Amino acid sequence: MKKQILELLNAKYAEAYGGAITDSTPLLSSGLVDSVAALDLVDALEQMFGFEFEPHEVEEKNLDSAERMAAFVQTKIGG
Amino acid sequence: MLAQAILSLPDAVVNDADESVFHVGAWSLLAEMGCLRYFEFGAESETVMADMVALGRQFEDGGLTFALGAQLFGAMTLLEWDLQPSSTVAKVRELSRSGMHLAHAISEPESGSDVFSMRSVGVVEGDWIHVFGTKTYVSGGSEAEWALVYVMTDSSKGAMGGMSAILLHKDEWTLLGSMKKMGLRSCSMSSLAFDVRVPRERVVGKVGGGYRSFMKAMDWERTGLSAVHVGTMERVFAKTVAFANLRHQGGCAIAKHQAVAFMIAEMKIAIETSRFLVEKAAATLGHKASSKERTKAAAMAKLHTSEHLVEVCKKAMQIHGGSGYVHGVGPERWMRDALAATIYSGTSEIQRKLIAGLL
Repeated sequence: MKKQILELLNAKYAEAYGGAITDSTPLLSSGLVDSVAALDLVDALEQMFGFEFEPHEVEEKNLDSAERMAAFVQTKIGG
Repeated sequence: MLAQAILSLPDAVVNDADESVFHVGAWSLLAEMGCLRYFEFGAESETVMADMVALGRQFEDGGLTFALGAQLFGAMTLLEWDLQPSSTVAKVRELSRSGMHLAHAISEPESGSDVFSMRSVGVVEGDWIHVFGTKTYVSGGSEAEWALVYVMTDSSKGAMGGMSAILLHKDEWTLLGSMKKMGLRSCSMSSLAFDVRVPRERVVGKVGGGYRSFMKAMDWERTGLSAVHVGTMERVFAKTVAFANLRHQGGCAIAKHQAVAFMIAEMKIAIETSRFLVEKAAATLGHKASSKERTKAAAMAKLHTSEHLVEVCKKAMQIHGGSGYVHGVGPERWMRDALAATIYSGTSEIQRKLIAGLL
């Protein structure tokens, strides 16, 4: 799961970041991803893993790095 | 779905006598026709937007169509998208579908276009929530029975996860007066202050869930108001061409003069390019596109149609000459109404910022 997320993030943001995005690279808190672009990531995660964020789940805690995203997705889809 | 019925409304309904008064009869009629029930019946976004074009085409009262767009798209969408509505949310949703005024309160005196830097707060206290703050530029605030009010329920999270949408009843806010405006005069604009404890079930959706819903609602509102702009430009164009064919100077209709004909041609191009962008934005609403595509298309439509609405009205005024400058009649009123379009629902500068950020 984390591998897929990292592929997604690197495809979208590696160039702007200036290097490879790793598990813990901060995305929102560093300003690399703004709040509008974050919704694009939310869409991508929903499509990739087949679940829906509830509106209150769209927050930095669940989106600020690959590992946070993976942990959140895990709680949504289990397994 | 309703476009034909809207375009068949008699002049007595669509041409108001006094632009400073809210047109209650027309509003009630539109509500009876179902203009506030699109989401209930799951209408396709393209159909909804075709109806918005018809409204702009028919109604001289820009305040009325703006009020409808702001309520239907800015406020009601959040209630319609609440999959597990509380009894109050369900009640207000049904009332607003029937024509009750539901205002949308997000702007604040200090925040302006940076809406997420709001200072209004909601403190969750068990089954209650204490909300306090001040909202301004609330369209329809004077007529509203209820308002959808955004507050920060966790400022440490920012808008994402920290912003909530809450329903307040008019008895729970203090109206700080209604502002006089240049145009769109029939739609009131007010400031309201509140400091009240309300049941937690007043939260639309869940606590902290305001951001994603707000952004999606803005995409609908921008597209909806852009569709109204297209209809408004069509109306202004039709009336201006009729005038140019009737008015004679130098032995022929002024429409035959190249200087006027060129302006008419440019007006037509503005309308058609605007229609194209609105149709594209309408097609991306719902679940048919990513939020990125939806937000970008809505911002492009809003920017293009609002800027061209101003230009079309300016040309209409120029073609009408002195008669176009007479207060309260035709072009002078169109112009005053149009100038609001590049400001409401996000200024042109905000749209440009959104578009550039999403490329």
